[in-house]
Amino acid sequence: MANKGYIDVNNKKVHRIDYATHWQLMWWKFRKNRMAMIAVGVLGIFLIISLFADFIAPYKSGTRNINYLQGPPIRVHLLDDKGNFHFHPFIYEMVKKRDPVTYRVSYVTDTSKKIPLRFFTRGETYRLWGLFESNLHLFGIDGGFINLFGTDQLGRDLFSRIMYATRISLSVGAVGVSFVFILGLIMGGIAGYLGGQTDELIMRLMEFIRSIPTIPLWLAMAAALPREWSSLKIYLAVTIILASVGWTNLGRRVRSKLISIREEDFILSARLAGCSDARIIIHHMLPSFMSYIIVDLTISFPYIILAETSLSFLGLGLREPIVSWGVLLYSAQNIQTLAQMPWLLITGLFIVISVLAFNFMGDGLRDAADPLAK
Amino acid sequence: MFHLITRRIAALLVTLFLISIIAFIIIQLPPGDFVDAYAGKKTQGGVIITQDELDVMRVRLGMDKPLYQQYLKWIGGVVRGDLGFSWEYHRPVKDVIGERLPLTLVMVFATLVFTYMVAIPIGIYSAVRQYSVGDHIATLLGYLGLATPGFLFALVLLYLGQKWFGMNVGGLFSPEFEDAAWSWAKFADVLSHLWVPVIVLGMAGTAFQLRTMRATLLDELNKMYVTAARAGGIPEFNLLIKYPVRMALNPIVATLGWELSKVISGAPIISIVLSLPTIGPLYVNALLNQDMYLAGALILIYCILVIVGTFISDILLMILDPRIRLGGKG
Amino acid sequence: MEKKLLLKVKNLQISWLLDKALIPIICGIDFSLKAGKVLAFVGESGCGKSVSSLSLLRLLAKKLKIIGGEILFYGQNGEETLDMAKINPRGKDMQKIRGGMVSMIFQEPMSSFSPLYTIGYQIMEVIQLHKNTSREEAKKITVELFKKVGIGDAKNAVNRYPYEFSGGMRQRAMIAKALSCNPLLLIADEPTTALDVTIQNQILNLMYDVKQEFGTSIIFITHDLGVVGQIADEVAIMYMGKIIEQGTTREIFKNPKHPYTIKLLEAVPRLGNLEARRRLETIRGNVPGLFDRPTGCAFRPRCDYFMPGICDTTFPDLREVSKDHKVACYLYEYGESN
Repeated sequence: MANKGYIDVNNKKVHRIDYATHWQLMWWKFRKNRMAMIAVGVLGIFLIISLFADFIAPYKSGTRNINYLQGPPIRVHLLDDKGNFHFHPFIYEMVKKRDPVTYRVSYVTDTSKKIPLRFFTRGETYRLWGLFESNLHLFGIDGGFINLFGTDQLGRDLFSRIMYATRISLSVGAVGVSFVFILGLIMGGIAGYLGGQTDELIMRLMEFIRSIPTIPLWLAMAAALPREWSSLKIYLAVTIILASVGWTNLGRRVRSKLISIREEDFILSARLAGCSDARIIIHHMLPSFMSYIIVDLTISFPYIILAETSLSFLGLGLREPIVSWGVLLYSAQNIQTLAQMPWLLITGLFIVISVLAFNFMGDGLRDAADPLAK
Repeated sequence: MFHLITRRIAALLVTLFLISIIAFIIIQLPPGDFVDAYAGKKTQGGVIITQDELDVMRVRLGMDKPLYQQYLKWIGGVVRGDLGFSWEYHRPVKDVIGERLPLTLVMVFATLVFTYMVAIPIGIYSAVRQYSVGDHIATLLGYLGLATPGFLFALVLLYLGQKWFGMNVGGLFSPEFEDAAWSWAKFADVLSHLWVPVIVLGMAGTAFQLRTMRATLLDELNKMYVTAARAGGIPEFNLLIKYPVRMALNPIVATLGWELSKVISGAPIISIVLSLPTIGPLYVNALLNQDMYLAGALILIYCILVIVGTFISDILLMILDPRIRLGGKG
Repeated sequence: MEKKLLLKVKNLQISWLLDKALIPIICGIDFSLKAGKVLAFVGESGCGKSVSSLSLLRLLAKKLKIIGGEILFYGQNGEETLDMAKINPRGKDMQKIRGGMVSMIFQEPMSSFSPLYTIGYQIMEVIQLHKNTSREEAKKITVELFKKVGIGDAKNAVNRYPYEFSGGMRQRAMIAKALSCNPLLLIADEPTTALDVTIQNQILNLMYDVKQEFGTSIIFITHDLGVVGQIADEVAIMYMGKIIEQGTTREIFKNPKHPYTIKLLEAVPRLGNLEARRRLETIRGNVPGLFDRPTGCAFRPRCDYFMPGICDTTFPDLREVSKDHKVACYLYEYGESN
């Protein structure tokens, strides 16, 4: 019977689960999980934002629009105030008005002038990934500012800053996860492979670290960073701090998987069949627990991101001029500020969505790692 | 069993000792010390301080001695119950902490109760009625709970509270009860404020335990002993609770210590956002001001809380699972 | 004396719901069981014998659905019938039957008891449920049962946890639990497969004694023909979800008709094989996968008597070939040919 991957039973596609390879099984199971697939799509978008933030954002993160401080988000319209549809999206200009009695500043939409939204405009120059110089931006307007998410008290465009913050926050996650991966793999690998005293020692170390509540520990370590350090140094230091506590979970997993797999019958039969140690490790052991490791890493991502966000929110993590999601929320610490600029919380939306996406993807991967479980 | 317990207590003490050393090191890490911070603040305020005055201060505070001596002095005091002196607040650390610790404990305890009382029933329901509407809603809420960082949720609540109700949902006391003596009315007032931090703090934990319960229970429901018990004619509900649920409680109870650790961990940030008079804000300030004794004592307290919590969860696990109690392999 | 009819299964069909398609597992089986008789179901792994037995008490997993047929249970009097395929599997009626009138023992004694409660507790629970006795009463009954099934130190054994029992003892305990309420029917799903041969013998003897003493009917699932010979009055041979031969044990063993049965019996290792340099007989080919069910008679790819044009049309019906002997094979549809 031809193996085309699936057969038709009563006109419905049924996958040939009896012939599929392990990876095929995993992919099929993963694909069935709609939320996981959506999550992958969302993360893909985030990845694009991270890579092309300079292009997508109309302005640089420090650029100020002094005419529009603490301004609410500017809406893009397709219908004008008379109800006519315009194919070309446009915005209205926001005019500053100062109340004569309270001297409070407020903004009023000026519907007299329609400013069309332009795509692929020329704007401020930037260096994409530090290599390519360009001034092409995804969208912008001629003259004036377009602040899709509003501005902060210094007039900086929140939309642009969120784009750049996405890049920083996700990269902190990526770098942090890499550290966690390396540390966890090495420590767990040594513990599981060598066993005996080394194993005991490493286990004790892991338990010890886990018995310290994480955030107070991070706070203490972050508070120890000298204020004068450059942003880059602080960036790396913060990531290392987060990873130095976060590796324990992965380490434990690697170790326990290693120990259990070592004793499995299929490893024994591979050895009896004459496989070399290297082949056993790479061809037989690794695929078994790689899927679990991948799942763990995917789940660690959001933890690291949330941790950095929390630290920066308190002012103990990253600081200006580096913007991460946490740094963006730093000014929201003050309830008065927050009341006046509630659009600052849009940053929170990005945080929640990214964490959700990682979790869904991780769950999908975890389900897929056991493709034959109900 | 007694033997197991004594072994645990011994391990506990060793851990505490190591932690005290780590705590001390961490406190000393930031460059400069309290005297520098103090000087910095004074100069900012326009007051002139001479180097001599600073040196005298250092001697007075015992900071001119080598590090290990400072450590011994400190740990000796801790063991005797003297937690040192808070330079920032000009009071013994014990008093400063003592004011706020009970509230912290109440908040943490309430959060844990909330977490388990919500997560376990919903988790059970989700597993038994898999893929039902209720399951999907519960799963969605669970995900949201995990994805939203506590402080963000707190911020949103604060904002909404201000905008819709015009009131500040932060803080633990209404203004009139702030300095009043304890009474039932004050207690009721605290409760009415307590639910905000409890929900905020408990959200992530609830989501996590819910999903754990759901996943574990789903696993257990497929096991042979459930079918065998069902074959005996035991009614569904009793069967459910007595057999698979009780087994599924295993990992839940095992993670009690860890859950406690996470709640304690998240408390400082939430407390800062909601302006709660707990030890969290105290801790952050102590770190920023290098108020050594206060910060050190607080780290110790955090770790003690976590260790005690883990210890309790181990005991609970022993009670729940006879295999652990009797050392069998099942 | 004509024994009363206890159970009659008519055209039972069970399918597996996979990716919204229904894959047939049991394609319509019929059999009946009289009081006090032992009926064995024999077949290779995957032929559906376990699924059939689980379906009687509606203990199937969620994705396995009964899509047709009847399971008629005649109860004590042999008169009232209850179609167990139709009643609510979670309802009170089903709960009364399970453990009370029909009980079941399973293949894995290791995992059939919850490790969190003593074995005694798990048995007493069933007794109290069906017999409505007090705790002490139930305990007494359990201790008696333990003695009967051969568990030593019965008084203390009742308070032990499952992991303190060996495999054989756990199986005996499971039998004790199954018999605790004097059921009319005991379904045994490969109870001795996971045990070593000496224990196997003891368990079989125990079951035989039970049958003699209580008059319990037994449905015995196995893949071991030796066990069938020892304990079964009647046997039904299954292949890919169908019964292909059925009859009294004596008749089937002496006079196997279906090519599959013949091969099965031939495949039993015989004394003297080594000296006579006889090879072990096997059945050529493999059991087809679930998705590769052959049209017509499912056995035809492996059958030496395959008749093209006849065997590949539809599945042959189970027809009576002699007294108490039915076969589903086209060889016997038209009288003895070939």
